Amino acid sequence: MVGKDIQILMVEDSPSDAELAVQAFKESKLLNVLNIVDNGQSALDYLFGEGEYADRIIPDLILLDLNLPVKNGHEVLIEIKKNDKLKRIPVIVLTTSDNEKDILDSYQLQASAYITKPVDFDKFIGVIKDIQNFYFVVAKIPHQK
Amino acid sequence: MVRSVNQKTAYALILAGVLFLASTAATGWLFSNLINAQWWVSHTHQVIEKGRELMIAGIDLETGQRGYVCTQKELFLDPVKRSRIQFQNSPKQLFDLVSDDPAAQDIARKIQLLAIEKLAFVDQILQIAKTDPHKAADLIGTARGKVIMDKLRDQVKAMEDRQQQLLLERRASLEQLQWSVIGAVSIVTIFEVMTLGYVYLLNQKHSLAQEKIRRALEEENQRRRESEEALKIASDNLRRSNQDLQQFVYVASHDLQEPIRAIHGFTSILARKLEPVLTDETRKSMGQITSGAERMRTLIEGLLAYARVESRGEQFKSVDMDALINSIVQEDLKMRIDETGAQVTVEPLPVIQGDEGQLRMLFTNLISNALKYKRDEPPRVKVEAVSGKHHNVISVQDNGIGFDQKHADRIFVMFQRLHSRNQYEGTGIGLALCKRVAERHGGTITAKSTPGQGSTFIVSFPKALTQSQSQESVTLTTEA
Repeated sequence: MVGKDIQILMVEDSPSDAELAVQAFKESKLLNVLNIVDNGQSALDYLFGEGEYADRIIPDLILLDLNLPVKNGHEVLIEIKKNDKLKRIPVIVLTTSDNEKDILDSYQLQASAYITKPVDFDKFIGVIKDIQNFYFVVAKIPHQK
Repeated sequence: MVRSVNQKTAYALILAGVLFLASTAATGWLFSNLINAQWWVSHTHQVIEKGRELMIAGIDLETGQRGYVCTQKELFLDPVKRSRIQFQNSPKQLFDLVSDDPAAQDIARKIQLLAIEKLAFVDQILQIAKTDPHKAADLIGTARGKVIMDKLRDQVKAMEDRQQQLLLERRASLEQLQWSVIGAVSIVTIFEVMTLGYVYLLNQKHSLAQEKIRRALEEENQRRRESEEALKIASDNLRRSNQDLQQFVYVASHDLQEPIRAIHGFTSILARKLEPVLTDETRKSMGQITSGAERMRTLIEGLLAYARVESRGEQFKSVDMDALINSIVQEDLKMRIDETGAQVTVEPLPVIQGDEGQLRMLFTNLISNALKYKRDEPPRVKVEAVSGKHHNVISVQDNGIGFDQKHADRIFVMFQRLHSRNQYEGTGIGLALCKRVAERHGGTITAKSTPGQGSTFIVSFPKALTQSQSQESVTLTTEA
């Protein structure tokens, strides 16, 4: 997969967190396209290719925040896992919460991983690098066409 | 001796029954006496009647005798014969009638004798009249017959008087008896009424007392219900307030992380991008922004940890404090201990019931404080146990800077610090957290210190602890 454009969908309502993610991804050496939506409903519209997202490319990986307006992360996760085409996409919950119940619920709803956002920017970059390294170098995931 | 109301009532009713029987008997006796008296009245009349019959018979006898003497006709002898029988029987009957009264019997006997004498005289005259009417008439003229009749009349009168007197006497005694009985019955009736009244009052009083007790019980129940209600409301309020607080801490802590991440992140990005143009001064300013953000993160983490003592407490289980403290000393704080050259002694410690994670946090904090607030010389820290009857007491003693004993309470209050951050790093949350953990375990934490000589922190855990309180709040706020 190295060398190809990797499509990533980030569902994040905090502009600063989104921007930090963008910066963190820039630091990595992998080619990737980071698409960002800021609420749960937009995430679903994007994934189902509805409205303004008709031309979107189905992402290879989803980074999902839990505290989202309109529809929260868990609801988005349920919708994704209900859909045959979408349920194979790895979903990484990336959130501020380290609440036991949020963690449990996320895995219960078949999230691939649950990661708490570090406050320290260097650690944040480390986390993004770890994600990229694991999913796009170490692990094999289905490539979306 | 105290008798119950029922006993008293029973005795009183028995007494009332006896009194009733007594008054009934007395009344019955009075009635029988009255009937008796009635008999005596008629008896008296009988006696008087007999006397009069005798006198009438006497007159008839006299009339017949005189008629025969004057006319010699047999016609006049018939009334004589009839009267004669009466004249013979009446005194006898009179005697029988007064058999109860010797005085009257004397009179009756005299009457009897006079009647016999009269009859004899009449027979004598009639006998003579058959042969010599004139002589018979002369004999009548002697007035002897009249004398006998007068005597007889006197005796009959005496008999009558005697009977009248007896009747009066009997009436008087009967009247007396009547009043006595009426008096007695009245008194008995009064007693009876009083007894029944007593029973009534007794029961009235008893039922009043019972009513009073019942009402008091009802009031008590009402009060209890009200206070239970009030308690429930207060408890609900407390629960809600606790939940609100937990929710607040949760939201505040999480939402506060985002701006901190932004400050920290973008400062780092700026620092990298501007690195070529940064002067020492601007670099230092960048560093202060970053350390400010880090400090804020530490504070929030402290607050979260504080909030989670209740909300994320684990079930209590046996915790080997020996193993726990040694693990803290040999692993968690090993680097700090080595850096400061501290000497940490751990005496044998007991096993206590508690939340291992929280106990670790508590003692890590205390030992770490002992290492932090040190004097110039290497710290000496001693952890030891004093096992009391009801408590397990573990103390952490150091030879550090110590503090004025008057601040002993203040140091356990959130954000209360005795030193500036320039002197000693800290958030002012650590000891508040320790206190909260100790309290969740039903225990206490206190401190003793002398400035310049060191401090001793004493944590006391009850041996038989109830976990209900902490468990309840855990189930309520596990979301936080």
